[in-house]
Amino acid sequence: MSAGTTERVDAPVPGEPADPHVGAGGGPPPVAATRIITPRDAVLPIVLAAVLVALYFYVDGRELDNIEVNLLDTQALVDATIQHVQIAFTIAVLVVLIAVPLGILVTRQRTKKLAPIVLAVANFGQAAPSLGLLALVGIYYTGFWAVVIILTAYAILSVLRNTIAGLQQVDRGVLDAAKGMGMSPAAVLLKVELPLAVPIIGAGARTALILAVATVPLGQFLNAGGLGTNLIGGIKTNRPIATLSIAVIIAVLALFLDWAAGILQRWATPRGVR
Amino acid sequence: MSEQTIAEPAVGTSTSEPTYGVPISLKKLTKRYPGTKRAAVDAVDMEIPAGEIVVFVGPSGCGKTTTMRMINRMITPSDGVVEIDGKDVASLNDTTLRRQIGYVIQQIGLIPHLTIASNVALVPKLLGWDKKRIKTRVDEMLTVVGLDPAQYRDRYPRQLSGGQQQRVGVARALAADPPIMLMDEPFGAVDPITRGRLQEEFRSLQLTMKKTIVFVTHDFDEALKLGDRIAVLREGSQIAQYDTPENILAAPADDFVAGFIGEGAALKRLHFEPVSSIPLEQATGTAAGDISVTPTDSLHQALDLMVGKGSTTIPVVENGTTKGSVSVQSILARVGRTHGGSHAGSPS
Repeated sequence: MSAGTTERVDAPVPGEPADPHVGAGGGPPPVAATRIITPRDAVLPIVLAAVLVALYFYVDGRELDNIEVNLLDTQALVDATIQHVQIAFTIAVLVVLIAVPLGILVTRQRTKKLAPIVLAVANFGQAAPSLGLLALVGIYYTGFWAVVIILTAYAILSVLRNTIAGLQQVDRGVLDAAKGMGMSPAAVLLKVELPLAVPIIGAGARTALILAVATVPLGQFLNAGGLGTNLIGGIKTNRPIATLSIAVIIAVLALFLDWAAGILQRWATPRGVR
Repeated sequence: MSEQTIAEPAVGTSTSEPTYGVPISLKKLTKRYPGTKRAAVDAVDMEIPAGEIVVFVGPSGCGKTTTMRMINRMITPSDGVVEIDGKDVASLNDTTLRRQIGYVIQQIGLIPHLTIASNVALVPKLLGWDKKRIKTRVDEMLTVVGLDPAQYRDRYPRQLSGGQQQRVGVARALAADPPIMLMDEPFGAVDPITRGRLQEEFRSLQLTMKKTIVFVTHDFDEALKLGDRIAVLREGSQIAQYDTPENILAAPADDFVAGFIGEGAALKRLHFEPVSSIPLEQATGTAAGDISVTPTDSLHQALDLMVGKGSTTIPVVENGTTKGSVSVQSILARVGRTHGGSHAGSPS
């Protein structure tokens, strides 16, 4: 994932039939027609499940030595996956808890001046080579939290930038009217700006989650656990089948979490702007 | 409570009578932006009478919007005072003040993720009205602006046309029954036909509401149509002329005002003169075919119909009976009499 990618745009699927409600009778579409979950959402989980099944039969049909059997032990893989998800979620939650308030701070009239400083720090967090950072910190600290903190610093920029963009794209007229009718600044932020920024902030949070899933394997060097242990084990012992299998599992996990987060994002987006 | 409100009876009392307008006065009102030589609004003094529509009209950048926005403190004045009903608005909390002033802007600014009903309910909710009262009020206001509550209540703003959205904008501004409305080019972004209709409806709505309305536009014809009084403003929000539309048309104070009126001032004035303002002549048969006017129609309408039909007279009909007729000559005589720089009073 390149550092420049902070927003996802869902491109229309070619061949998708046009929404039958749009333009019917010239009237605008009833909002009730925009459902959170559509049949299209079933496609990705089915494909991912098929990939895992294919992987299982491929591995099952091979003769495995002891090391490979150990690396691909089902129970161990399930435990490692749970651990992996735990680390990634902790990172994603921390990122949102830090980046969203920071994004709010640097878009307020009074604290606007802080924007360049905050962005510079966040940029540094992402620009610094994460492996180098891990190695550096690894000299002093190891384990779950050491990895979580480093990878959080790495992922903050995506949510921070999207929070700023999301708050800035809110229509000036809407803000002017809200304020002009006597909403307090806090009410304008909580009831107008943030709900309208949810789609863009959510896109940033999705990016952060995927970034976390993809970088957690590096945490293996600091003994953080997760699927990285098995992956690096496969590489170290030169067992390509094990390495490939675990890499596929990590990729499937990343895609699945992105899918779930996408649905969550749609659910959190207020009706009327969905 | 009384020092928290700008009008008595307090805004939102549950009487069925609407809250009528209260006077506003601007005293040496000034806005200076840092780093600019001239003040955007330079020591403006103005009395805005209760229950009237006062239109601020002037070229872009003359400070008319800035002046308006200082009334509800969306812009903080650098100097000077805004008094509403004799009370300095600076003594009120900004949000308390704004909840008592209707606010309509060109961008409309409906909140996209709230339904039409929730948008209209916004200020009553801020004022802590109970649910039942809010619901009744929302339906009432939607009906007032010509939208069927059953059909539009639960829709979202993007499902409405621009004209319908601005109707909601007006309903929202009126929901808490404020004595004052500030309107910044509210009909500027809709098509000319819709704009005309909204202007007409708004004008007749004001006949019963009698709010004090400050209306900003750069369109002089709109100012003529809606204003009880027009303030023609030049740079620095300096008042070039502040008078009734009739008087400004009849006697523009200077070349700046004359330039702003544009061409056809004499014809525009005929909008303000009813057919009954000139003596009727004997009806001359049915020569003109199917055209006719009523005594309350404007001379402009009468002239327009005659020009359109190529006729020189038009019958005046009231309640189905022909009262007489008016001719092009008599209208020209009327124009000639009130034209030429003399301060013509409004026709009696």
